[in-house]
Amino acid sequence: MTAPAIRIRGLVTRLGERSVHNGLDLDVQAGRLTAIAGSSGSGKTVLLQAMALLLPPAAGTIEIFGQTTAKLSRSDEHELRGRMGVMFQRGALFTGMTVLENVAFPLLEYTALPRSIIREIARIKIRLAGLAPDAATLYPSELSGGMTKRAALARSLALDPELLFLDEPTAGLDPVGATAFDKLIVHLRELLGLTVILVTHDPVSLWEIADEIVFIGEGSVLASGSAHELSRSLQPTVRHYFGGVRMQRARAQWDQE
Amino acid sequence: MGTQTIRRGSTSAEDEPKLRWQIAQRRVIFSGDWTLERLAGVGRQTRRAVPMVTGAWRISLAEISGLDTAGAVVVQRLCRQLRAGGASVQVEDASLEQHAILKLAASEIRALPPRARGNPLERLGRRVARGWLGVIEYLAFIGRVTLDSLPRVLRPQHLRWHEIAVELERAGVMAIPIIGLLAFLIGIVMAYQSGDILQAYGANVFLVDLLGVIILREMGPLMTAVIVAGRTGSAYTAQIATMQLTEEIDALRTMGVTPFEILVLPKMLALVIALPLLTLWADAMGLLGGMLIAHLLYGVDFDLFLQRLPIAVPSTMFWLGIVKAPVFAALIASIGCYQGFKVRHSADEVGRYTTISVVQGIFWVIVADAVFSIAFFSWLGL
Repeated sequence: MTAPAIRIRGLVTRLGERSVHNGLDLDVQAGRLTAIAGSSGSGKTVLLQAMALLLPPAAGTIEIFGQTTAKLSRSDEHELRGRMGVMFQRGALFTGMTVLENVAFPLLEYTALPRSIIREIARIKIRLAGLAPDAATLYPSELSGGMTKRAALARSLALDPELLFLDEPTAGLDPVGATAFDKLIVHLRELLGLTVILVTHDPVSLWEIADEIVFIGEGSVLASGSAHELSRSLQPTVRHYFGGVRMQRARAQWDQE
Repeated sequence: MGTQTIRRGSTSAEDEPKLRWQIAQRRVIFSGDWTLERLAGVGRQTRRAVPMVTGAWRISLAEISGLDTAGAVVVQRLCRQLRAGGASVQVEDASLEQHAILKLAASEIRALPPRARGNPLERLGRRVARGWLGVIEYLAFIGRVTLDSLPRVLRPQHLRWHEIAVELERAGVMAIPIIGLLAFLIGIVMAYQSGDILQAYGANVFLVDLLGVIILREMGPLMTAVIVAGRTGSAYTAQIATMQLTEEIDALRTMGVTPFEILVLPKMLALVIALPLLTLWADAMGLLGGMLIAHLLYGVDFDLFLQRLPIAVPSTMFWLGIVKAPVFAALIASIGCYQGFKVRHSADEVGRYTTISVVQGIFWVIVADAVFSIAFFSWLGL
């Protein structure tokens, strides 16, 4: 057993006065697709922000690739950020740049490569995310919801990260688009050897693509395991969540297959 | 886990990405860590190194310790360059994963069509046309605001007094300190400069006439309008622009509330009320500043100043100044809101249109002031 990509111990986070996590422990195994689930307001996105170095913990430690995040020097932190990509829920594409410029932006910031190579890498990432080549010259306001998600994914992949954070990647997509996006994530993980951390509400994603589901609530991890294991959990909140109609349908579909 | 170590090598010096040319064996050997953070400068190295070659070449990846998409792009570019010279190229000793990544970078990428920019003459034409259209659009905006607002203006009990009060506080009450301070300083400066000249003629007492006319008729209204255009016009643009981006304006429309009536009308009314009052305040503070200097430096004491003021400066001067203020207010508020509604897509535009709003607000205030001067002076003889 190798060391986990992320190890969290006793994490406490606060948003203003309200404490979101209260002594949360979590290990994320490298190379696996870990989904973070939980009811609305349970702090899934906040946990993702803490892991992506966007929100300093009030207490507890987060280790990423064996480095404790709170103790990093500026340059080490910069390097660590280069090893992870974040795809935000609403894309967060820079509105004043085209898709190509958006994807090329982290490459320009992090490397001293010639521009022609950077453009080529950016366009590979755009294609990898399943966008048509012509989409590269479009501005974010000219993209549909699905294209925005794909462009955001392309940008999060720009630096060939080892660790990919996805915040609700399939939210707001039509069912066909959501399934395609799920497949894309699995494909990319295999192709690029990514460790993927996924915040999602989508029952189908939880059943179909997650290797492991971490269910959080009441400020800590309530249960973790595969969807199948969690659906048999006796923990009341988890049971309630997995007993919902939509979850049952996704399960029925999964059972059929 | 295996993939991690393959893709990301250590950072020691011997891991430097390098390529060796074995011309005789027709072989290029890649070694080291060909990943993004190690690659700076390598692009130039390959470009310089490619000789004109033909025949069957082999590229060996046996000695590399890491390869990601960036590295694959460099490898594939080299392959393309060799092929362009007439050689055939074969990549050897790549692992399965490396093959997959190389394949990603392999497919020919055709050039993107550039965004049409048009020739300079065409661009100039478009700009001019846009300028004229802008005037028409602005008038159309005023028309729609008027139409949407009229039902409420005609029945004042239906006006949104709460919104008007909020805007009055932000645009009026909160501007009192800065406008008072600036008007006071302007009064001091003007008294200083003109007092010196008047003193040479022993005409110190005429300082009252000069300050009275200039401050009440011109400086008070104009200074106040300029400050308010910078302070409040920009705030109006930024607020409406952000609401456009977050689709709040569309949300209002779906509820059958016209954004003009709920956003523009209260702002317009509030500013039309606030600006004359602020002008009055600026007049008072400006005269106070002038009076202080007249008293301290030029021997015109407070009693004399206040005694002479109503005789020297007819009350029409004051009213001519105050009358201009509501017009300035309507200009500032309408331009500020209009520019906000023009934002459609990006955060960039918020900044751009906010700047335009302030520049145009000040510009049109000064134009209006000039028109007023001509109108009052030559047509009404005031």
